[in-house]
Amino acid sequence: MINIEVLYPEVANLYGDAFNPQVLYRSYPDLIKITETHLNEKPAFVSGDADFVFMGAMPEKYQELAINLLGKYRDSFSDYVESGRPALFTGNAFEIMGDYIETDLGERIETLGIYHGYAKRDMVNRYNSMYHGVFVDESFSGGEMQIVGFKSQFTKLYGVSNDAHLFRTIKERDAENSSVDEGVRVNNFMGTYLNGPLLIMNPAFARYILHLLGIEDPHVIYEDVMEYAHKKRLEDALNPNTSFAV
Amino acid sequence: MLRFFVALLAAKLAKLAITILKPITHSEGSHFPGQLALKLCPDFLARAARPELVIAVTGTNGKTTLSNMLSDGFQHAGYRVISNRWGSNMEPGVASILAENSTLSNRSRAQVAVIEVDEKSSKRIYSRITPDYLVCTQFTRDSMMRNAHPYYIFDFVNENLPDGVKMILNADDLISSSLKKDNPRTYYSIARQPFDVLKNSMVNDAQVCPVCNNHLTYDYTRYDHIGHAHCDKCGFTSPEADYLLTDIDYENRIIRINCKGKVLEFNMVSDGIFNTYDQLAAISLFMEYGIDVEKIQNAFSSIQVVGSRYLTDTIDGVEFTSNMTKSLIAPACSAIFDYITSRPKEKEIVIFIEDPHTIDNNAYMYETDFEYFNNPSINKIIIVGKRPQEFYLRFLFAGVPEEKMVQVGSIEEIDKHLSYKRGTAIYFLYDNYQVATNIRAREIVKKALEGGAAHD
Repeated sequence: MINIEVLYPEVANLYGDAFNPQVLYRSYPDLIKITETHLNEKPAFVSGDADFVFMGAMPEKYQELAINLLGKYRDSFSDYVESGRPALFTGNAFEIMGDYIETDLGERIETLGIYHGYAKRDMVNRYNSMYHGVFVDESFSGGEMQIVGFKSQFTKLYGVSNDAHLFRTIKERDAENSSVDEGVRVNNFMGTYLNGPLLIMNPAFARYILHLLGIEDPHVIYEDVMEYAHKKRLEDALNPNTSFAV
Repeated sequence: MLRFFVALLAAKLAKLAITILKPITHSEGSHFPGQLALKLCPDFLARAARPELVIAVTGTNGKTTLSNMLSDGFQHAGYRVISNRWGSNMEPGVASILAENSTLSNRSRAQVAVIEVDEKSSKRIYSRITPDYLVCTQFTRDSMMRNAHPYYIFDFVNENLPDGVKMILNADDLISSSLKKDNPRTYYSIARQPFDVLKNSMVNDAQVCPVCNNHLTYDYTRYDHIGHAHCDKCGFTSPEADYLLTDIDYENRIIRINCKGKVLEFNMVSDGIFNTYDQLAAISLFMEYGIDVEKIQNAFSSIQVVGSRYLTDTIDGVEFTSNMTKSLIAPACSAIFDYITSRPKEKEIVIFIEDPHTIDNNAYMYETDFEYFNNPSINKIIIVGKRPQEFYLRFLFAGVPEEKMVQVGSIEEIDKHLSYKRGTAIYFLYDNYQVATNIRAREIVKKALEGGAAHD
């Protein structure tokens, strides 16, 4: 059985992100199982029992708790990423794997250093935007995969090198953000602020994840409906009259 | 100071103009006088005369209902009351009511102000007005775009509410009950009821023990994390209530409350659990302030919950009910879905809860318990809107059979899909942006039924 490990679901469960692993599981319930690792429990990836690690967005106060708890297993997770096994961290979850998080007061919260980059919080101004970008992995899709979604966040990511982003941004709410690519990728560790949820809005990307899990010719549950919904959202994104402000 | 009096006069003239022009404009313009006052005098709120008693009401859901109960209750008890119940719960709305109720020499005509305060306005309002009491309904998930998550809102209110304010807090909410730990506080709670179970909701925002980070054990939940919990590891438990609602007697429409050891009875204003919490919060405040019990009981003999969000009719044996449903807000939707789907009778649902004018982030659907619709009493779900396929997909994930669902682009198409079978019910679930569509939907059904569409 392919084991999807969901980290800290009791706190990392905002914005519908918790449904992302459900899309994968429900597409292949005979091949995939989901196990949850709760706060204070030892993660499955430490003992090599995880085939995919997922973590969703969480309240900011729980980021620090997650950093403290996962800090003990930092080397194990680094090995996991180095081995090329896949992980998806959505919303502010992936910030805990960068170099640090800077708070509104300028204080630094040291994080786990899996990728180079840092996040800056601005708890006064919430950034909400529709998103259109592309994902490229020649090994699977053979070309560009259109990505649509939404962003709703207090933080911004800095210091990630151009070749380490996950999605290439085509458009966001404003020009400044539209010029910055989205998220992070180190081997098959993927982090993105996109919600919607991500895999619901992007069935092709969900198939890509299933491909990383070793499933041949993958299909997602309710694929026709998901593809149609994706197509309609893409039409909105491509319409020059659409406002990306949400 | 001159600036303040100019602002006060301007606000009063603006209110007069709005009143005179209302037959033409049909607008209450409830926050414009306040907007004008604040423009002319930014610290208007700090300078305006305040009544002897100022009560702030905050929380995710129920602020307006609770504010109305408090205003009506104090009026019944013989107090002169001002409130922003019909207006904005942000700074201009508050400024408007203070301006309207002040004399030109800046004396308050009212004895009590009940101020509904939007959580995000906490800083602007509480930096200028220190309430005597803060009554909080609860903090649950709200619009992710505006309010992010309950802990963000908690921090916002907690950091901006002054010390010393007397708190009336919901013991069944482990988030809001922790507000301003050093302020004097009173807790209210609804004791376990026969209908209480441990709900398998998609969302619970208070699963972690605030003392030891262990997983909390919930004895029951009513919605989201509202319920009673304890920690098996360190012994932490939900706070003990000073005002404990022990019995809800639906048959006789009575609630019994243990008020610090004395059991009192009150008429029940509504059988919805949300409104029962609001009534309990109001009674707690009245008791704490020292209002005579008989006066409180008399007040609740006539107080009614504003009915604008729920409307029902029956024609020729077919019931049709409209229920306003706050889209983008998962717990509010889940609670309505739970209530509607548990009603007796076979039913058909017409759902149109999208804002037709904007691009909606529908991520909230994946925090909402659409699973309630996987119910044998539901014969059909008609999805109306510009993005019906996204709702269709969510219903599929919820286990609703494909054959029970229809997607239409316009409300005009619903007639051909409704069965109009006698003894069944039709429910319209609509967002507050779809009020006109709801009216049209009811016209369509009414016309069909009056034209003999009902059958056995």
